[in-house]
Amino acid sequence: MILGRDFFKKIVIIVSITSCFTLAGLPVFAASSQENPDTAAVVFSGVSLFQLYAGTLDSVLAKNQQNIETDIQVSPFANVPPAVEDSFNNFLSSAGNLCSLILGLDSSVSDTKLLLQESRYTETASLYTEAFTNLAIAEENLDSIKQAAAIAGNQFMVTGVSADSGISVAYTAVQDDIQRLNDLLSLYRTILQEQQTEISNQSLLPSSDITISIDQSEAYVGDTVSVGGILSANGQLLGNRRIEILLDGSLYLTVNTDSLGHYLGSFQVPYWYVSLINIQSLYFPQAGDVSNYDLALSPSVSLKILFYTAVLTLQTMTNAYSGRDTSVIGQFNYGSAPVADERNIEISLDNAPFVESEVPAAFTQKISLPADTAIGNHLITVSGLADGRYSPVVANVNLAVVKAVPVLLTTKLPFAALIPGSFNVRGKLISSIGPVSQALVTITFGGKQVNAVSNNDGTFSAVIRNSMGFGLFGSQSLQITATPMEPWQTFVTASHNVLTVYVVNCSVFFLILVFLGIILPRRLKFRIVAMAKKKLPQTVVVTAPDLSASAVSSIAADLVAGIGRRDESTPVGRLFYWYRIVIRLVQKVSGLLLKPNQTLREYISDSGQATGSTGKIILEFTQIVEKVLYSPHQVTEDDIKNGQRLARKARENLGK
Amino acid sequence: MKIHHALIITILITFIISLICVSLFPSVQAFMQYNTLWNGLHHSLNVLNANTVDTSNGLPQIDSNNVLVCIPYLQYSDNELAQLKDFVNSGGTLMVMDDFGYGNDILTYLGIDCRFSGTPLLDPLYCYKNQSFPEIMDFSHSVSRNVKEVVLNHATALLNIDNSLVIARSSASSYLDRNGSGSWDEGELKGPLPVAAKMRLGTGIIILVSDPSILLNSMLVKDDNLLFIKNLTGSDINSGEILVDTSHLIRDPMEITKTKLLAIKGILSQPCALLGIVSLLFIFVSIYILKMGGSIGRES
Repeated sequence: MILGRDFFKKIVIIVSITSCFTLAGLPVFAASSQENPDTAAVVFSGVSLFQLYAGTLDSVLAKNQQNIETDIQVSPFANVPPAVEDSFNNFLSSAGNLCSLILGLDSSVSDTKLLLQESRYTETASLYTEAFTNLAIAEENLDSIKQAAAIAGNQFMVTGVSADSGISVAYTAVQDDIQRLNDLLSLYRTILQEQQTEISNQSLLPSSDITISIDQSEAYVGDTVSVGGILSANGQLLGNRRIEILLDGSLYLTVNTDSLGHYLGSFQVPYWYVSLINIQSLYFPQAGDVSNYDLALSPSVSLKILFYTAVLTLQTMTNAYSGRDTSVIGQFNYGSAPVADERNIEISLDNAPFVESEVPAAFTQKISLPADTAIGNHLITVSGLADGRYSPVVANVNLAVVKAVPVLLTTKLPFAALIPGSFNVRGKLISSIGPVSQALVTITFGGKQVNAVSNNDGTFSAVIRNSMGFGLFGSQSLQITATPMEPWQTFVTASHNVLTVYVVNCSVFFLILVFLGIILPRRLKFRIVAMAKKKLPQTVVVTAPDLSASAVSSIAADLVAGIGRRDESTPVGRLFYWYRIVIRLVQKVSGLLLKPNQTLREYISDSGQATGSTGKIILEFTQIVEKVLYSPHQVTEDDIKNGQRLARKARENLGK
Repeated sequence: MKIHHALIITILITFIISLICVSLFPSVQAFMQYNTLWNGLHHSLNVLNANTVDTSNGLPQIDSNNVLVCIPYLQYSDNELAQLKDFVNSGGTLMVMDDFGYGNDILTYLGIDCRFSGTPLLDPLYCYKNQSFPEIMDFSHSVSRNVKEVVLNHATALLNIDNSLVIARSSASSYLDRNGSGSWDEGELKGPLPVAAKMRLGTGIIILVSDPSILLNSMLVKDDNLLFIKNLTGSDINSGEILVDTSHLIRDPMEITKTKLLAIKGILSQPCALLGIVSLLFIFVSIYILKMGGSIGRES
């Protein structure tokens, strides 16, 4: 069946359409458990925003400042509409301030209550002023909160939705919390005003007074300091009264006034490594004095505290290894202070106490890391403990725990490997902590594996015996894997390319090439020609000879060169065989070659000088050949015999 | 032209066009190594200096410094699970990143009580663009270095895990949307919920992350995702590398064909195959030359 051009066109169209559908269908296979973040829709949630607002206000009411601080810290990551961003930030900062102010007000209310019980009216009065100021600021912050909630309400159009909807419920919760805060602030105002009234009633008592002095303005920790003063009330000295000496507001010592109202005591400066300690004396009316005298607190005197400080600098090894010792290098720098002979230090690893030791000013402390220490950065903390006049000192340093990576140095590796054959591989394993000994070295080449163990100096050696394969030649990977025995060393692998020549395969391949390229074509050619001859009937096609000069010369040249020569078993072949012998004789004698555009007759004529009288014999033979070549004349046995005779004669004459 | 010739030519053309299309068409399947689009791993693997590993024919020898990342979207066989267990027991670090896949099979086999919830974790307030992209801002000390926030993409949460093992948590406004309503309903777990955990198992380490999407080309560059992964795997400290197991990912037919084509290309580049191809070419050329006979080079 023969197909037309239209049918072929249809096939091309079908193929094209199929391809288009295949291509268009491919993206459908994309998975959908992820979403492209760059094209994702932006969606804001009013419900969650109001829930956050309500939660924050609940924290204010619960006086939980830490929760609010956490909310403020993460606020930049909240997904809120741009129009609400400023009010959102205002809301959180106002809530933070309000919480802190409420805590302050709480403390003020309880402090004033305590001061009133101790008849400390002057202090109470100043505390009230501060509390009222803070209350006013708190009310301002609550206004900001109300405003921020209103802005968010407008943005999410809360007023237009049903009261049962999630957003409306969340917004109502915010408004309820705002109302509760409003009530709370009102309550504080009422309490403070009531306490203020109580003060004004009590402030008519006689005021008492107490003085204080110390014998030195500065002292080292542990030194002894004397403190003294006078207690009086309305110009009258009060004797045999109990006086409390306060250091930084805390009771440290108790003394009594003598009969003349003087008091004197001494105390050891505590080992507080601070720059100043404030000292005050306090008279607190007791028993019969409660309704007669006011409380007296002396002015504060400062005692400068002296002690020796040091700066501790630490250093660790660049890398540490689990299960191995490492060192912490430290240096106490005391500046102008006397250098301590030895200090007690505590070393902790990731805040867990690890080592205790007594060290000089410059020290190197060895620590043994447990074998299961995780790889990564660890925190080493060294604490120099306080010792008399020496203040404590703490310093941290990072310790990087890693595994040592051995380096594989191959000292002997062949450039090329012949198969079959063998070669030697030698190398050395070194890591940052020295040679890697007793490591198992596995060498893989061409599917064959050889094992070796590294020596104490890290060297190893192995002989690879190459096994036969199907390849010819090319680059083959030689892989060396070293597995160290120690837990702090890591596995290492390296690969090299080795030119591999399969000698036997190459030889076989070469023989195949020779067979396919030279012998087979020849054999096949003969067989094909023979088969063709058998198949084709011996028909003679007679065509008009082309007698143009170029055609004539071309046929002549072909004849001489033997191109397209006929089988010598045929009469024509036999005749031409003898003629070619003659032409070769002429070529040898004359030294002339048949030119591309030259006829046989022209050639015989040109070589006439060399052939002499034999030229006639050759010309005679040429005429027979021309007759065969350029006319329908069929070669006869007489022609062949004649040609053979003429050829032999020409050979005899030309002496060959 | 006869009909059987036309059919052979048509089949050949279709086959060649298909091969060219498969070779040239970009990979679009999620988590694929050669996918350069938003949902691929191509750029991420380069940035993390990570490699892929095929465990379908067994787990190759992996140095304990390296981190093996499993994204179990296809089930692991018992044999594969046993190999993972051996890897961890020999001191290796295994990072299981899963959301809605077969991560729980691995955890069950390893004897870990923790589970991937398999329910979408949504955060309507602390999110990137919408609640399906929860932002994580609460990290433990071990992974918090230079990390302030991490964005997840259609993630889930970890359940039944000890607090001391948790290394990252979602915000208080997040929740597990069990009924798929897209909003929090009574009975649904509210945040903070664990999204990453780290624990020791034998001498090895197991890291759990409830969203593998942070490894995608488009996600790794978001916020501090890259630093988080580096801190998780310790890749900036360790000399080891990250190896992503790609043999348990869902592959579409084109991806399978692409992989097979690459495998065939690999086989054909072997000396034996090369020898065969050269011989075949030689034989065909010889036959052609012989068929043409003396007509080659001669004027007709």
